[in-house]
Amino acid sequence: MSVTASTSSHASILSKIWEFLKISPLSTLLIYCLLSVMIRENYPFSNFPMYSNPSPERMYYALADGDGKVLPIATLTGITSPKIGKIYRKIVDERSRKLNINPSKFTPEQVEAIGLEILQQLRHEAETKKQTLPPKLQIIKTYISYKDGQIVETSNSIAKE
Amino acid sequence: MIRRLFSGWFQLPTVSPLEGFLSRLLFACVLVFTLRQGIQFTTEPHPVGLLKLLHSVDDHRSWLTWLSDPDNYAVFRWVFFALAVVYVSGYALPVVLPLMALLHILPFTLNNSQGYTHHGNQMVSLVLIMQACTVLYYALREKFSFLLPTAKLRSWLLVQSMVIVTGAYFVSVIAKMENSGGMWLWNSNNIALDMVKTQRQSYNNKLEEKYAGTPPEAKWMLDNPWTARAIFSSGVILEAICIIGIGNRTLAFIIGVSLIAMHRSIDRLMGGVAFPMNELMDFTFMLGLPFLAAWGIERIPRKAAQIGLVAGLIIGVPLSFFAQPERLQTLRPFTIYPLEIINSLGFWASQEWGKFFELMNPVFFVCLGSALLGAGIGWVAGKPSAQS
Repeated sequence: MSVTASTSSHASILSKIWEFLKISPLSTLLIYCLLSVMIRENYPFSNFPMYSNPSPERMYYALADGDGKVLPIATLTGITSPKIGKIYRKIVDERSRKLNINPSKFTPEQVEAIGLEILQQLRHEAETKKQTLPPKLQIIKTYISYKDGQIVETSNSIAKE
Repeated sequence: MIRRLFSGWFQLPTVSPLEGFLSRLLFACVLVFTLRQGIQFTTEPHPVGLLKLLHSVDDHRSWLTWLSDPDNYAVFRWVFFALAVVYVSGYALPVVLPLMALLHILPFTLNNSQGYTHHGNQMVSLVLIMQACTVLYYALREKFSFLLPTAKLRSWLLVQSMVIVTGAYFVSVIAKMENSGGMWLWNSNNIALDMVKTQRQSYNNKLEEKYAGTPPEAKWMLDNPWTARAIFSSGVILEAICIIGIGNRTLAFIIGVSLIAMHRSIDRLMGGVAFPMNELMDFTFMLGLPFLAAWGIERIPRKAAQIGLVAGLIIGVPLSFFAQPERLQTLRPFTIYPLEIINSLGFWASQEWGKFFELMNPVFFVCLGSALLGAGIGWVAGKPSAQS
């Protein structure tokens, strides 16, 4: 008897939730959130992952000439500085899935090959904008952290022409 | 109290025909503003979205790079503008909205297929798609009509637009919790390192001196992690709770103002990371500029005077060209002047207030004059019918 009553009560609650979802904007909100989380970065959908993992070490990439002098990337190529990191991560993601290996296991040679590919793309964009780039380019990766009350930055070149 | 907080989830807000019109007008301006820049990309190296589907059909073909041809893009824009005019009129929405939604995603899909994601326009495209889905659902379930939207459809369009605007913030909270393993609030003091990183990136873009050096706020926050956690967490909590603003005018206004303040603070702290489209969408659908304007205009007792005022306001925009200094008239010829007025929304993002007021002061004064004139004519013309 109590089992029947409990089942009936559950059905009633579910029915009320269903009635609520039918008239409430929460149903479309739920569908939208699910789609965004599943589809991720496929325009017009996005899960908006900016600043989503505030780790104690951050990194950024810069375009430099052969001597390591930083170049104004947006002026020369139209591609802004944060986008180098995004392109890098996109290629790493595609390649790691293709090769079925963890991105952290990439060898320096594989990283350099990706860097050179990005430099090629930057040269193409500079050409489109009728801008002249130096004969040799490199991509500098810099880590930023906070230690003993100081901001610490360490840089190294990941790809050099 | 709790019932009031969530009241928007249970009942539809009333949207007057005037609010519906002003809402479409403002949203159309935002849409036109998103298309102000041409597309420079001639390749599709990392296809996303629609392009991913098209490249699965034929990977060797460039599907959308025709948009990078300035002549093609000009035609594309004018087709979109023509549809936007019909959209503002409120007629033929079941046809116009799906077409606009499809067209709007094309240039930004090409833009985001270069290997990086720009997060500026997703919310705008998605609101357009949601509005298209809403009118189609309404057409299937209630009534298919090319005529002006009914009261129910106007309410649906507003609420579903709010769903996307608030949903986008809510989704970003899900991403934060997922990517940080649920530790976002605890680790949020490290966002101060992102402030340093963003400053460096801003400097590297054009080597501008104003971005050289370390922002003092970032250093202060790194030295004071608990205060930093409190500041950054408040933003995420706002993003999480903003969904209670759906359908609730008062809460939506408060949340809209708070979201805009949050974006302004991020822009200030991050050294130029603005989200102008998000802010414009907050103005339109959360803060409720169309609602506030319509509410004010509807206080005028005669309908004809209300119509005259709105007509005068709109006519004032092109008329204000003749009140501009000669230098600005040469810079912005009459044929592109209304578009230039819409593009001045960009000053909101760049905060170039001097340029903004130089261009907009004549617009404000001419529009005010023509609106008063329109209202006066409407008042007189409407008098006999009002008495009868």
